[in-house]
Amino acid sequence: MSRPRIRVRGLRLLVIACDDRDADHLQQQFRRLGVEACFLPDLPGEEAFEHADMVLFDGDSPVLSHPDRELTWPALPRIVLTGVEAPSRLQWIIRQAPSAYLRKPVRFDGVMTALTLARAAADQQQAMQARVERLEERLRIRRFLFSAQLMLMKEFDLGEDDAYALLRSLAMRQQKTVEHFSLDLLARPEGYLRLAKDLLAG
Amino acid sequence: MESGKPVIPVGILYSVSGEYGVIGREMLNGIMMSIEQINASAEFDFTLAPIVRDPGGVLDRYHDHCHDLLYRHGVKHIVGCYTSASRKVILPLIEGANALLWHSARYEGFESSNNVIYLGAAPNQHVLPMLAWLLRQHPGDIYHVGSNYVWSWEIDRITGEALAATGHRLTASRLVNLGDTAVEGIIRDIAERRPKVVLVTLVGQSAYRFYHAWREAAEDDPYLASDTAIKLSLTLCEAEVSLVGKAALEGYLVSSAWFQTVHNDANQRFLEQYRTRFGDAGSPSVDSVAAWTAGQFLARAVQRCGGEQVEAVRAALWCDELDSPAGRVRIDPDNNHAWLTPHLARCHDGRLEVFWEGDQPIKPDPWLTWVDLDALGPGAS
Repeated sequence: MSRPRIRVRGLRLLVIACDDRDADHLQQQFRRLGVEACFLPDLPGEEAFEHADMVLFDGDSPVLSHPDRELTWPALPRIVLTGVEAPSRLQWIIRQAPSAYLRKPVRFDGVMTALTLARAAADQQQAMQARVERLEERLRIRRFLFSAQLMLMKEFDLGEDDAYALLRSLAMRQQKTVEHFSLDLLARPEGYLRLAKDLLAG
Repeated sequence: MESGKPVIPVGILYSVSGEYGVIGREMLNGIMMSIEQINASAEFDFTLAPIVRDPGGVLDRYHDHCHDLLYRHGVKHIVGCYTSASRKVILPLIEGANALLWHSARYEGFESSNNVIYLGAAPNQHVLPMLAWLLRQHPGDIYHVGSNYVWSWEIDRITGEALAATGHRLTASRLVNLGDTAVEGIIRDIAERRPKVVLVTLVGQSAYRFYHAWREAAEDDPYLASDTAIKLSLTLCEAEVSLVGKAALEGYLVSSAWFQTVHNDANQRFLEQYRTRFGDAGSPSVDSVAAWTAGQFLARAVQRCGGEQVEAVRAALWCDELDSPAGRVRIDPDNNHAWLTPHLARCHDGRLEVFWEGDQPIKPDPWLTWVDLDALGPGAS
């Protein structure tokens, strides 16, 4: 497996609600890394995120963390700056679903790691999410698989295992998952049953 | 100095102006009285020279003054801070210079720096004793009103978790921004919902306005005027009672490691000395006592180890125990926090009168590692 390339040059960040000292240190380190950053006092509207790749925010900011306020984050990797370790604060941070964190006060070291891990974690999260959606979709149409299997068992007087094997080889020929092919079979049985008969006849 | 003794500079970083200047003044009094007593005593082979700075409650000024104290004045020891935000701002400087911060205020816990001596209560020493008492005496739901910062958030969490195990809950968690005084809506909500217990963790101007607004609303509302609701505070101190006025605070129950009404010889001496030094205008708080204690511990440790170097002072401090106005106090070598005895008081006629105290000092547990919040209610061990 090839190693992922580690380079953050060109990343565009929105940095939200950080105090001046942390912002100065971030800016200095961003320049060295070739990262572009825009510093904002509060969470902006969604149009502000159109040209951003990542968000960094202060997890202790009283502006962001009022208990009556629900923050709506864009689907971008998020880095949280943390100072306080009290569980009530950590509970709030968990709700913001950060991809990485950086301890305060910000220094030069750790910024590169946080940027890199945030991007990797967000990529993994995205891949995982896509996989979950695919699996959920298959699960949703799984019940049609049983109906399709039953149809083949009746039609050709097959046992459970043989009917499934037949369904599977038909699906493979159509280059579909068994579940998706089952849907097609139930929708238009005639043609596919003829195909199945030919297959069984060898 | 006329004494001819070596002089050790000590930085003092309390805000005597700004949002919480009233409390800062009492903390400054505490440490100044402590240093004067040390300097006048033949017990010590040195004198302490306080270098006093007032950050005015502004975080950047804490940073700048601390930097100045460490690098221009070369201090190794700083007594100061009140809010966690101010402590977090100077902590990197303190650690970077390998100095020692003597932190007198109670706070929400979840910190243990090798470069800080925490003299104020951790939550297991004042929040949990109050909750345990409440759950024994008046089990039920709690209405919480506090300030939107980590102290109130954390007490909200602790209270909610402790209540859940007893089948009760927080019916409200109303947190107002620091300095915000628009609390009338919350008072109306309380009047409508008539909670049995109201927990107040507001600080500063928000708190003072809340007490007054309650009293004003009580003129037209029998529930607010009655003592039906149990009102709890984890922040009130004597100086604030003087500031707010006794009428608005009658009946409040307060938890703290010290009150003026604690009975012991060391406290009687402390109160007399304080009155003599600052007159009737001064009203020492738990924070004044902690600041005074910081000075005593620092001087005794320097005397014991023969210098001001941080490692030696810390090691000497761990071996010490002080008969303080708050009872026996020592510093825990595991986490640098003080062992303290919990006290509960009721505000009556402008005095915080102790009605319950712990049997002995409680080991500090700043990370709440060794306590089970589920087991705080009645019947628990």
